[in-house]
Amino acid sequence: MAIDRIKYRSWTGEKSSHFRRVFAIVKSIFIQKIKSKGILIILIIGFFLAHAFPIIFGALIPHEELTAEMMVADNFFSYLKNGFLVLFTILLVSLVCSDLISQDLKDKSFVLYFSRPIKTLDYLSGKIGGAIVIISIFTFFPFIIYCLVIIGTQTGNDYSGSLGILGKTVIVGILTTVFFVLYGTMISSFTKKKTYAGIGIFMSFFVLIIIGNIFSTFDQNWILISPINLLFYSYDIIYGIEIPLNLNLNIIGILLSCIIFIPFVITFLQTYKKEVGR
Amino acid sequence: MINANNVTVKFGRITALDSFSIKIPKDITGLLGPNGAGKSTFIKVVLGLLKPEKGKILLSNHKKTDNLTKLRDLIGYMPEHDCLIENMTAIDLVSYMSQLSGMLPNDAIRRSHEALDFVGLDEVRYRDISSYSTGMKQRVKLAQAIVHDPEILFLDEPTNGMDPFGKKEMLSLISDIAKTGKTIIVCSHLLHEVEQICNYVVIINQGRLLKTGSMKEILSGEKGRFKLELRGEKNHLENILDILKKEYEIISVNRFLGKLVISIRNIENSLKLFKLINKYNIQIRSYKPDKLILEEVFIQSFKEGKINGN
Repeated sequence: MAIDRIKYRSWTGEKSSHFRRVFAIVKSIFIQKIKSKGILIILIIGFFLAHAFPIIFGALIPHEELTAEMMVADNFFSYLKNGFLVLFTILLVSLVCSDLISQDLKDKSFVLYFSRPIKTLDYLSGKIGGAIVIISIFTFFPFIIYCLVIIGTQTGNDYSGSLGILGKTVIVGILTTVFFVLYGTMISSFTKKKTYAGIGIFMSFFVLIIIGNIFSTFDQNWILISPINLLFYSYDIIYGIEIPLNLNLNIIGILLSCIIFIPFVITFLQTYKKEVGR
Repeated sequence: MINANNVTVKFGRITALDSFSIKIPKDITGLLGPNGAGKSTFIKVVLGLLKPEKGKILLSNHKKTDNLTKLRDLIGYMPEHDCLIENMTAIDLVSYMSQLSGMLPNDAIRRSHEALDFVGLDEVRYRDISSYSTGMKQRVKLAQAIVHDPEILFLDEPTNGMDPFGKKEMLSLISDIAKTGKTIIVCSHLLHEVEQICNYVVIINQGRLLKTGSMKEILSGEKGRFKLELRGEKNHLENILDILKKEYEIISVNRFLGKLVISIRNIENSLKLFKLINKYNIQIRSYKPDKLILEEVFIQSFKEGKINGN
């Protein structure tokens, strides 16, 4: 306590726009996450293993142009389907998204947001936006860098074809980032403990792969129950690569929509309950 | 100023606020009632978190209540329970909250330091909130509620878990804020604290208004109610007590070190009373209007409420 206490003073500044208030949440999440040593370590190691090597090799190996096969072929040189990328993305999402909502559930801090001019959608936009910025450092920008490096070192003259692939990669990057963040945020809204949420996010991907593989002996479409497989087949569709004939395109479309919208709706409802104090 | 008009809120079959009408002036108001009385529901309706089934609430000079952004910018809320983001420092949290309330980052930092200086949180503001004592957390809660300089301030159990020194300081802070002409609503179970700082009282139970008015008015008690302190021989004192019981309505009697302290109702003529006592050779040591304490008013309101079927 100061010797002479400071008197209460009124504030007469200008109020910012509603967008800036939501942006304050995005900024807060970004700063908080980027300061986390665990996230930084995953980002650095993951970048070397999942991005740096493919980018270096891609540039060194002679190529005429950027092709869809270079991005998603089922071989060693495939960039987007390599195991390191999947593993480090899941690890990163587990770390970034685990406490997005669960921390507020634990601290009961929803009231601080909702007693201010912040609605459920603003709150979620801020939280999800912040996580998207962090995750996109790993699942969006490196994809673009890879494409630009490959285009920059191509020997052929068909730049339009390469730029077409670049455009598709932008869509793939957005899809991957949004998909993982929404899924992670949903799991974070189920529990007050960020450890449970983190483990839940990480394990659920592998558990669903195992379940999908077991049941795929009865029907090949069961493989799509795994979000990772679903994402991989979505890449194929976006790049115009043929998917196995026994897989149903409609099921892929429906499941993809579900896996993006359902987590968002669930998270929205979980948070809305907090807004109205239930 | 808050003006609630015929507000009804229902949760299924339970009526949380039942045709609740109240005018809360620009002053410090104590909102009193037992758990489940409807205090939190009232706050939620004012904050726009709950929509009333019937009636409306108007804040300050705003004629419409449908612009949530503008309305919530007018309000500061200090919740009762733990709500602070534990892995943040106080300065980060208060600055973050001020940005959510519409301050630009530079203003937010400056104003947050001012708010934390005001509540008396010094260097500890740079430490994680998880390491704070309950008293420090209460101060941070107050700082985040006042940082955007709201017109209306809801303080839910502001001294909860604080030591006596801290409580005194918190009450003095609230009084200081009130001097700037804000509407402050204090919800508390500690009636002596409410009595100390509030100038206006609202007592509710089961969603209904039981009593409201200025503290002075409410504590002044009823007309013709006096406290009489007598001294004399024991026999004489007992005799006069019997006589007074026949003539007046006696509310309470206390015997203390040879003194008799009596609360009497329905005194229309004090001179008559003095003459009566004088006959028995008894000293009148004091005679003054019997002021109530808030606790008595609170209990009395509940009794009256029960009689009226509330």
